[in-house]
Amino acid sequence: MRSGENPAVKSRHGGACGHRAELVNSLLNPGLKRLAQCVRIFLLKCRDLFNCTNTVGESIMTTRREFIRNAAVFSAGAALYGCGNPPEGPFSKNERDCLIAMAEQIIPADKIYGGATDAGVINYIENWVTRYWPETLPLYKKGVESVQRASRRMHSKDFQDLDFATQTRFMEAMEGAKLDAKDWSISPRAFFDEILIRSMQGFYGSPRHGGNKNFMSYRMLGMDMPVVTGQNRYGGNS
Amino acid sequence: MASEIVHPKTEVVVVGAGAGGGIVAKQLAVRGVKCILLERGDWPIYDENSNDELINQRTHAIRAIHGPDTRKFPRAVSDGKGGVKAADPWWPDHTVVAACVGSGTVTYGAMGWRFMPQDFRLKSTYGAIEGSALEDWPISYDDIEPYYEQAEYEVGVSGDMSTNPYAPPRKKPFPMPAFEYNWEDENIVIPAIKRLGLHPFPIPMLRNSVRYNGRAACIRNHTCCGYMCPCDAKNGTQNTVIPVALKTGNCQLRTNSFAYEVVMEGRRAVGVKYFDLDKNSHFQPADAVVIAASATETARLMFLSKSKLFPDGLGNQNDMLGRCIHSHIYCGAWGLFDRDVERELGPGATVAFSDLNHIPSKNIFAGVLCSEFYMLPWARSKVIPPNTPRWGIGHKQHMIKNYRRMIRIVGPVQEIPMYESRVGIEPRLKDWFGLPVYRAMPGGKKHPLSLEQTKIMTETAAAVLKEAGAKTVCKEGEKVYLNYGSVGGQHQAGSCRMGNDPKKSVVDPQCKVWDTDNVWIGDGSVHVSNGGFNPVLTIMALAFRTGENVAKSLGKGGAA
Ligand SMILES: Cc1cc2nc3c(=O)[nH]c(=O)nc-3n(C[C@H](O)[C@H](O)[C@H](O)COP(=O)(O)OP(=O)(O)OC[C@H]3O[C@@H](n4cnc5c(N)ncnc54)[C@H](O)[C@@H]3O)c2cc1C
Repeated sequence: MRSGENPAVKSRHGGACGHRAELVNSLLNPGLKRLAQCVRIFLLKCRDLFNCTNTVGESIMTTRREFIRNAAVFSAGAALYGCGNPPEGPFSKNERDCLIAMAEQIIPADKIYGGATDAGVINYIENWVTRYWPETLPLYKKGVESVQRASRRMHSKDFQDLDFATQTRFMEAMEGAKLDAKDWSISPRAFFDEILIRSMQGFYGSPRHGGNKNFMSYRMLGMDMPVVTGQNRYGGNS
Repeated sequence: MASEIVHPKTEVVVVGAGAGGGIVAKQLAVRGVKCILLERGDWPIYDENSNDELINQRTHAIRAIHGPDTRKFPRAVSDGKGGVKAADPWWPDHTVVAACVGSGTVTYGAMGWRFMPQDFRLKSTYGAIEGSALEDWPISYDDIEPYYEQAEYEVGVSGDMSTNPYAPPRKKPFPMPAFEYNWEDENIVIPAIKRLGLHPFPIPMLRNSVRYNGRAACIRNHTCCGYMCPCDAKNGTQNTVIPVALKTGNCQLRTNSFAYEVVMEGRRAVGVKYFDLDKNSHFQPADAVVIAASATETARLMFLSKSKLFPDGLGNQNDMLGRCIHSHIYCGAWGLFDRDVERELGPGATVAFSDLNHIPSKNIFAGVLCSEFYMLPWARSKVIPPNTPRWGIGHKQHMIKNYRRMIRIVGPVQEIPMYESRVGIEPRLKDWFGLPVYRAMPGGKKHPLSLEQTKIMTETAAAVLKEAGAKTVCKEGEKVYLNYGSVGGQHQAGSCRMGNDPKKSVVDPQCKVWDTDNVWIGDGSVHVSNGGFNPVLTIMALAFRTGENVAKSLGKGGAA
């Protein structure tokens, strides 16, 4: 626990990031400072990826113990992203393809701009059901299962294999809750709304959560890239 | 759990380093009072949040970056079957201020409003309102005016009320000049407001329009409301009063310290018990205790603090604790134009008009209407004009075409406090420490007159947009905002109201808890009503006053 710290802005950063950097520095010789810097940044990224927030105030990695825990996450992350084989995800290929097709219905590609598939909305959804709110995974499992059951009964095909227009009509029926209830283990409308909100977040939200690849939607809207300034970089404090 | 850690005695423990608590600690420290400031969160760190729309403190689509961790600290809502369940942990069911040093003041939109003189005596201005718990404040605008001034100077407000005929009286000018209007406000919104005979003026902001107090001037970032400032130009308690308090050497800040009981011996508090991150229990003895944990959490802590004299919770001897909690109904309208109108200078929200605030002859005491803060793409994707699809290629085309064609005018409705709206604690649901959680009432109970005011505000916002030339106007008042958030959203207030009559209030006019010798409340809980404006400057002003009162009670009064 950090108590009664000097509040000056710079040392505040020294408090959290500096602590970590110090540890890293002590592990590496000074010639490798630059590497240490990279590690620090990578740790931050890993933390984003793995959403390691477990303290009362959601503050992060301020203690040695937490550092070590996060270092473990970091190496797991490195292994995960280093070995080339994607780990087993929360969804089967069939489920994944179905979700990709549904998200693409929410934000389809057009002649100029990419859609949900190009933006990697599925990555965002996978983050949501694994790292952010795993308690929602059963909703997705049941939802996709119901979609496929209804699709197969109505069209003898999985949802992702229907043509685009048929998919659209299917989604409209889901939204309007106009589908045969016997195929559904959850409310079609509720599942539709879930896909809608998550697709929009994945497409229009910040890229650091897996979607909006290369700021695709920001570019589409002609928005300035977010200014990347930070208190510790801007130098606005003296 | 290890045995309790007992600390050496201090003079005052302040619970919560937010808007109120930070100021109380500063007032004590500069008067030579030794104090310990307990905060459940940690120092906020800019890098955690930079420009990320999905985790910011305003929309918290995934979570709220500055806490609290809603998984560990759930809130209970009714499951509709007589039981309870945890509220959905993200917006809008789980609205919270924050859990970090500075709390909401780190990420707020930073509108720094004074309430109007009438806001302190609603009952005498409008008469008793049936079915409500409306009361006059036990203090007047004149009592609080010097403290408003102190808040404006010590925390820092940019403003200019010269074009607002309804501006509350003030002795000194603002310490910083007002922000200039954004292009769309100056050229589209303001002329329309004026043509309707209303009176636009720049919104007073707790943000530096010029270099102030050793920190930079605002750089007009998009991501301001809901975000920490990249150049530290937004003034919260974390970068103003709390550093001052710590510098005196009289105040110690303990972060990651979750207060769970004010320990009472008869009428006297003898200290505060809290948990650290390892769930160790600590006891901090003190001569006096100030609770400033925000309206919901202050009431919860008091419910948890049972003693012989207060078996139903500290300050609950008259069954008033937690009652009358309210915030604001937010309402307004969107206008959709047939050309690009927005020039994207952050953070938006430059103009306001408060003509609707107090027209006693018409029973209107609505609130202020303002242009809206800059919103990022996801938030905008949820704004669907009529005849626009919610999804699919039509929605995408709408986004591309209309992204810069929308102007929004919104504001907080002065809500009428209701006796039945109450913070409770729910023993069936426990938080990470094993403590009963806050029980939320979705939407709370709204007085019909509050809804009427909402309508008036919405219509007025819509009229301005129409006058400004919007081709389509979407009113979003009642529908969108009425039920959002459990009671106790970001403007939560009123759960431990102040009063002259101990039977009808929790604290006395000095903000000391009735029937105690040394327990004080220093946050928005004490508001009798919450004005037609965002509440924080009033919370701050009261905290300056309460801090002084506490110091006086310890024989260390007088100017600092
Ligand atoms: C995004 C956003 C925008 C806003 N914009 C505006 C605006 O423009 N204008 C305006 O007037 N207001 C605004 N507000 C509201 C404003 O921030 C709040 O009204 C204000 O912070 C409330 O002050 P308070 O002292 O009552 O509580 P808080 O400031 O919330 O302080 C309470 C503190 O106590 C801590 N705490 C709680 N329980 C415990 C415990 N058991 N032990 C230890 N510590 C505890 C909390 O972590 C917190 O730090 C905004 C808020 C948000 C989130």
